[in-house]
Amino acid sequence: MKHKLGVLLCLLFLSTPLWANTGVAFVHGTGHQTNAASDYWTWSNINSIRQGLPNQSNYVVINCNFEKYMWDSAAAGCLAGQLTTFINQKNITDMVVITHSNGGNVMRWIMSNPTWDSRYPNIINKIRWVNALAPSSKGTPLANAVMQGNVFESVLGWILGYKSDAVRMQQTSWMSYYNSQYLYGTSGRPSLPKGFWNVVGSDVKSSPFSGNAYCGGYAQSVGLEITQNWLSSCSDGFLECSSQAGAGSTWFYDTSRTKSGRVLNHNQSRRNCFNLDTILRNDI
Amino acid sequence: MKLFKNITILSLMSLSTLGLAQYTPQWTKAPQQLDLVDSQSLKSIAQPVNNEQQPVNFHYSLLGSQPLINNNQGYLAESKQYWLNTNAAKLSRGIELPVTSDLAVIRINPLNPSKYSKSLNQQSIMIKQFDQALNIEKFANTEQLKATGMPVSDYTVAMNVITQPGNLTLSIPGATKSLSKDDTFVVHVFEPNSDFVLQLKTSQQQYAANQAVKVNSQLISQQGAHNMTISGYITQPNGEKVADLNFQANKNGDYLASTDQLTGQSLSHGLWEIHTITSSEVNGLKVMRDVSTAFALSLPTARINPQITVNNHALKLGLDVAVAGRYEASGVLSGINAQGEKQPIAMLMSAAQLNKGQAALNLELPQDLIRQSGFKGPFVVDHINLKNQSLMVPVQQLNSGIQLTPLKKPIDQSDLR
Repeated sequence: MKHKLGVLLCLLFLSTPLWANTGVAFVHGTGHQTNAASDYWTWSNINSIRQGLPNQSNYVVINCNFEKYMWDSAAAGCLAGQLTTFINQKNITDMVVITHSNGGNVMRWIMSNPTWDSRYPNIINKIRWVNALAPSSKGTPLANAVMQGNVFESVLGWILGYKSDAVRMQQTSWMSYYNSQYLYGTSGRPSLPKGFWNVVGSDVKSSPFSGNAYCGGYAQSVGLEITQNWLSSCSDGFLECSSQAGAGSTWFYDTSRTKSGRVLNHNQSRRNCFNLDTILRNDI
Repeated sequence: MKLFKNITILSLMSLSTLGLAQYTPQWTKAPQQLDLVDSQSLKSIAQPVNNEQQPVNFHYSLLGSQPLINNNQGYLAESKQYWLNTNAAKLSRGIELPVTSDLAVIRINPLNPSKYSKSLNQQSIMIKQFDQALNIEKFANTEQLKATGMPVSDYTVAMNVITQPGNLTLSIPGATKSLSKDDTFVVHVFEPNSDFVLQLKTSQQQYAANQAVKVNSQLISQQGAHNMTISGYITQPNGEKVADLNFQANKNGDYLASTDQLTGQSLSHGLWEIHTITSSEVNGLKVMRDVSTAFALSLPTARINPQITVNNHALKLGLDVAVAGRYEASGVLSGINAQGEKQPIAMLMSAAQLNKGQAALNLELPQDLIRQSGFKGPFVVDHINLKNQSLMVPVQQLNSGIQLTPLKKPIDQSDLR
């Protein structure tokens, strides 16, 4: 927080004019969204966060096909198009981007490959910073589990097309390659052109007696008894903490800032759970 | 009047020296000359994945960054799991699953479900070990697994089973009644508490054209490395198998394989992969492990040639282009501190559509960031990469850099009038 405050002060004094028109963009994770505001983020969450804007209408909720590879025109191309339209229509000069899960990878593609698309530089220049909620920066062993195997499953399944590009991309060895050659912000690599601040979810509470378990939906608790076997003790139920903190800078781990020190599982980090919405609102 | 003119000229020349610094570029080492692809013989040039036509230049500050490291390192993949193919007929009779520890996570994934397929349920599955039925401690169906974010396919089920080291028998006695006997499944066994780990290590994750792809595999436990039967193969970006890998054992318990028979191609469909399937017997206990890992091959559709110039604050890189397309050159501009260490100043990038033949890309040298750095020169541009953006494939990664020495033209008195 101290670092973020320092960055903000520098920006305010050096580059952000007093008449900045600030906007916020919500970028979803893996999946093909057509109504992310309602289905992915929920309106109560969005409406809470955008209260931090001087002009509360300066927000956009992205709907793209993040089943595709991050560089695909339906993924980063779609994201660039919607951000450009938002910037132009609202005259946005200062934009906070909030991503969740694989949305962080698509945003990091844009920031790491500014020459790929002539729209990218203007988007990057307008970004104040990215708040990446539970980003899958180093992939997840769960993607390895469903994608790997012998010839029969992975090749046949792949040709049948029932597995998504995005899941394939989020295997840990794949993200290691992309982080080393096509994405910036990981250790030893050039930093990103703008700040990429991670919010890390560190645990899952699935007991029906835990007050932590219900926000964002209780449905996943049974499955978590299975999937947690693939993950280290520090994980949000889908991503290990090391993946969430793998690129950019860590803003905070869930328990250090949320109400009553609650953990944020992977679903909860895209909802208004345990004061997260207030934290994001105040950050704008 | 003459004095006024001299002062004016001197002032202007001083200002121009500050604002328009020029450099003499020199390679620290001659760039390696790649053999370019023959566009006629190139088998799989995919449809361009990037149709951007406008040239784009971009740079941003790396001031205050830590020094960069060589990013083309190998990757170590580890596995405590294996996968088996089976069908309903075999499942109705029972299949053998070797396990080595106290917990097995078993996932059953129907590969060709039809409207007649029914989701498997806990009651239909029987697991035995040493003639004793085992309890399924936890069971989750597709919806419950998907709710966690695990991207399983439809009709997949998974379960935690408490076991002992030895063989399990997994059966679905009613499988051929509720399913077609040819219905195919993958059975996936993961042992999170097992001591036995299969490791697969690549020497690097990005290989140059015609460079041998080398891999190294070991089955290890606390007792050390174990002998194993290992087979492997390579798949190309679209997932199709292209080559078998022949592993040779060495005395250290490593199994080594290499191939230099691969030809680069577009990565728009994904990455190349190595897949290994292993089995071993350790003190009478059968151990099965599979693991996969990804890598990439460069495709030399162009190369950076030795021609470099600096003009108007831009470093011009000469290129020989064999296949027309959109290319990006990038590099890191660094100053050199009093200890002789490189300190990053800026990331430089430039992309444009290039025709076949001689071409160039210009990396802008940001004078404002150079001034902010406080460095006076010489400077270095390294970590130079050339990428084909049309085909989403790396082309060349230079291990040499370019030294930029500032020009300082002394003021000649005869220049003054």
